[in-house]
Amino acid sequence: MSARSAVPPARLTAAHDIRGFRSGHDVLDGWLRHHALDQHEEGVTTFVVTDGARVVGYYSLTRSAVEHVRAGASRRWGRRPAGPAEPLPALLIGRLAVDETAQGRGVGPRLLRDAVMRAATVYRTAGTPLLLAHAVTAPSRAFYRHFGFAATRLDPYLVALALRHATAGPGPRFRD
Amino acid sequence: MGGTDRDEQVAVRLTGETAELVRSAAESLGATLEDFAVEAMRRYAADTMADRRLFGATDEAWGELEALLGGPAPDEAPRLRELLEDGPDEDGR
Repeated sequence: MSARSAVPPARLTAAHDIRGFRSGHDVLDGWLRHHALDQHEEGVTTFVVTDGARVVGYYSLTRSAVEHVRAGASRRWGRRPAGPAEPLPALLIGRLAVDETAQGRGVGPRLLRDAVMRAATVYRTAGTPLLLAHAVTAPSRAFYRHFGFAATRLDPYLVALALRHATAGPGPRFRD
Repeated sequence: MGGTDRDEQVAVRLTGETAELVRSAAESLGATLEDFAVEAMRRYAADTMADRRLFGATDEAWGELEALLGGPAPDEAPRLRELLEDGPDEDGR
């Protein structure tokens, strides 16, 4: 880990150099270059690790929710039978990628650490008990599982972490 | 999980205007229509999945979530805790 890595991930701004970012996944690269800044207004915040001004890793964090769709009930949002459980609030890592020049230097774990710490803060203050992450490729799912995320039945590309395992002391209790 | 080795054939019908646009775009890249379609679908699918924020849980999936939230720490929890406690950024917060 270089001395530079002591700087925590920062919120993406227009001053960051994202033009040359190449993670090996064109969809993740294109999203950073073309959409990440605009998405801040939509409640999707991107945090970056830099080498100088150049971005060498990023993740996006946003709010999410899981709704219990009971057997026999309509699966459409907003059309629920009477007396359903409230949707379970969650935070979501939508995208996470590391530039090819920085891979194998611990940038991915630094990004994940920042995301979990931010999510744990929200959990302690607002009770959001769950951190989800999209992981489209098998290596990315292995990365998250290495740090305790579990596969879910919600979506084959979604992994989940109970934030009470990422924070000291008991948090708000989960109820259906 | 997400990976599978099974190939699938997908036939689609394109309206005249769309077909012309797609064919022109494929030609501009020197790609076959099939390769272009596969690449375009793959990209759009990956973005669509990454943009999902709302998830519906069946009874089974909901029960699994309850177990996850109320259950014991995962085997990897010490690794996560080590990452959180001993990471390089703790002075920045």
